[in-house]
Amino acid sequence: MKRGGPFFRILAAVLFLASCSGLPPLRPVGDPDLERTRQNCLLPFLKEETRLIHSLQARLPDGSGTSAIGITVADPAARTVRLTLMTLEGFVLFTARLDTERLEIERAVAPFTDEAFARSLLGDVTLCLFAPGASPETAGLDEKNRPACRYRQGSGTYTDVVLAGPGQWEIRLYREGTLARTVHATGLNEHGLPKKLELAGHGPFPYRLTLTLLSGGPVRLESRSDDLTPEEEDLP
Amino acid sequence: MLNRKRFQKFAWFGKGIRTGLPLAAVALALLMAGWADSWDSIRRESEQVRSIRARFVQRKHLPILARPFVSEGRFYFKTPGSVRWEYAKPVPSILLVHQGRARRYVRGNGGWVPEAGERLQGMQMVMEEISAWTQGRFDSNPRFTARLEAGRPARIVLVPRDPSLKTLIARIEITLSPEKRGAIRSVKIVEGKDAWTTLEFTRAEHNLPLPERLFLDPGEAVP
Repeated sequence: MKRGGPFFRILAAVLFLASCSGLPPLRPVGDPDLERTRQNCLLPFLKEETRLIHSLQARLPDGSGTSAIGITVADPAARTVRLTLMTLEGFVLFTARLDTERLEIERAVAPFTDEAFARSLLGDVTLCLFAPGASPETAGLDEKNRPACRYRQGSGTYTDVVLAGPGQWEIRLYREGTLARTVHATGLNEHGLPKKLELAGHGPFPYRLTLTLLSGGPVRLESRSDDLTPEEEDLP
Repeated sequence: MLNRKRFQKFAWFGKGIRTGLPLAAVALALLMAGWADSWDSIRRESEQVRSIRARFVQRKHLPILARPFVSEGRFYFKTPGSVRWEYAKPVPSILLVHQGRARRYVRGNGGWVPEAGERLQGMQMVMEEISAWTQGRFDSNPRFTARLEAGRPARIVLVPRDPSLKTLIARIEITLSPEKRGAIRSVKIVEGKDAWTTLEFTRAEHNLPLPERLFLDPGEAVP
């Protein structure tokens, strides 16, 4: 067993390297920097159940653009997301709930009626809001010498969180060694929520989503509208 | 007694008030009441409206929201069917409807950015409906039953006939202005038990000269 140990470790390393052969390498850093990097990689993600309202601009594969308002209530501990999309005029296009992997569409107009489309949309929201894991599989410096964390999420799926600059993060999702999504998160509000999220979907049907935070904060700090005067209702 | 003598010379004034007030009230009632008492009178008054400029506050109520989502903007209408629906906040955007074509623009870094046209068919239908309402044609859409509830303010309730449309809109309640003839005070679009939108119109002005460019060019300076 003792003799077999190094062999298995090498085999595991080879298999690991093979499985992330398409991923950019992360160079190791010293221990003090490593811990700081690990902590900073978690900063743009939700820490507790949070309600967010975004204005959303989508640039679709055909080059056209469209806008909407997105309302999200997401709980990272329970891994639940409730999402409502409505037009700028307030007509609801889509309401759904994702409970870990179980998707429930409550209301939808085309193209949101398609379950695969809806699941992909909620997957994008999850990528933007939930930390890919409690601690990274590895951390170091990326190809541009920026601190980065790499999380493994099942076979063939990896998420890199790169500290792209002061108040800036780059989140990269790889599937089977291929870059599938990139998210740029910029600035944090008083509750630690990114003020702007720019998501790019890569592949045969590339698209871009820009989410600008209109309001957002922990659900536990909210008061319901019943307690509000009309003046306090104003959002954002 | 002293007081009675002292104020005798003003008695005509009191008498005038006693007789004049009811007369004024009757005159005012004749002037104001009735414009919204029947479909014919609503249509007659609304047909006098050739253009509208108003401000609006929109409140969206949804179960997912802790408090209503509030938007504000301006509304312009010109017969026969030109609409400029302009949000100032929270997301600056403009929906223009002119000669049967709807276009939406969103404020970008470099100015107004047009949106995909084919996705605006639904909004075009809604704006055409609003145009019809401003002309008093509340009962003209065969997809809705229209009920007029007379009173002050008078209210019109539209209910979809088609069950599939009912899943999207349960009913629409339009409250007419008791103060301003031919004007709509508010619209409530009820989507379900916990989901509805209210639009409250204020500072409505009728029959102002509105240039055609207002309904063509998002950058046109609004009057």
